[in-house]
Amino acid sequence: MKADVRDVTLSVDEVLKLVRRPGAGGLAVFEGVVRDENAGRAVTKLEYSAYASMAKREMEKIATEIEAELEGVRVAAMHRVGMLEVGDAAVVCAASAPHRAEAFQACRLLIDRIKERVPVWKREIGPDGESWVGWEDARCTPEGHAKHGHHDGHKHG
Amino acid sequence: MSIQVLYFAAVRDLVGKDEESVDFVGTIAELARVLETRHASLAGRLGHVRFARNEEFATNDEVCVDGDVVALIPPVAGG
Repeated sequence: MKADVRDVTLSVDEVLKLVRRPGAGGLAVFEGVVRDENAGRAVTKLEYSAYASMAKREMEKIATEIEAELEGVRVAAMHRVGMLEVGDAAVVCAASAPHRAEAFQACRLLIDRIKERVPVWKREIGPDGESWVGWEDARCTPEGHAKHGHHDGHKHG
Repeated sequence: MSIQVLYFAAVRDLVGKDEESVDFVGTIAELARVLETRHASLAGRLGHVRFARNEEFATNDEVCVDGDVVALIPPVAGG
């Protein structure tokens, strides 16, 4: 197993264990954690959801790609779903390689491709309300604009 | 001839359900038009929505066949 989607707290050790091996002198870990603000808005919780079977498959595919691109590299990742609080880990990525340069590089590629391609979504919950991250709100049309409360951080399309 | 269509996240909110069976044969691009007609709430909203066919991202000219599972993938936001 190189990847999984879980609805319980993620373990960095568990992900590291998947890439640890005697020939790897460098291990790199990236942990993506829920932050207390986004684009100027306060955030209290993020609710993650996924097309779980495809998300797992796509993460496995990304891992296989990276291992083919970078010689001697092993990677693994786990993504969390469910209601997360500030400070909770949403994703853990790990990479191992004979030396540190490739380990850092592989770990970076892994998180970048996960964010680009893996079918996971988050609903941002804060004092100003709730919204899907990355989705233009249907109410935010020129006509509808005046009908809802706005703040500077709100981005349009 | 029917396919199973899955809805997630913001698109699921617009449609009001997780999934449905649709009698359809044709390309992904044609399916998008059919779904926009079937659900007025989707009209004009599929510009940034990708499609997956049997858990793989699909191209617009890919043809759906009986029994396929097609998912609408709104902009992803993992990590």
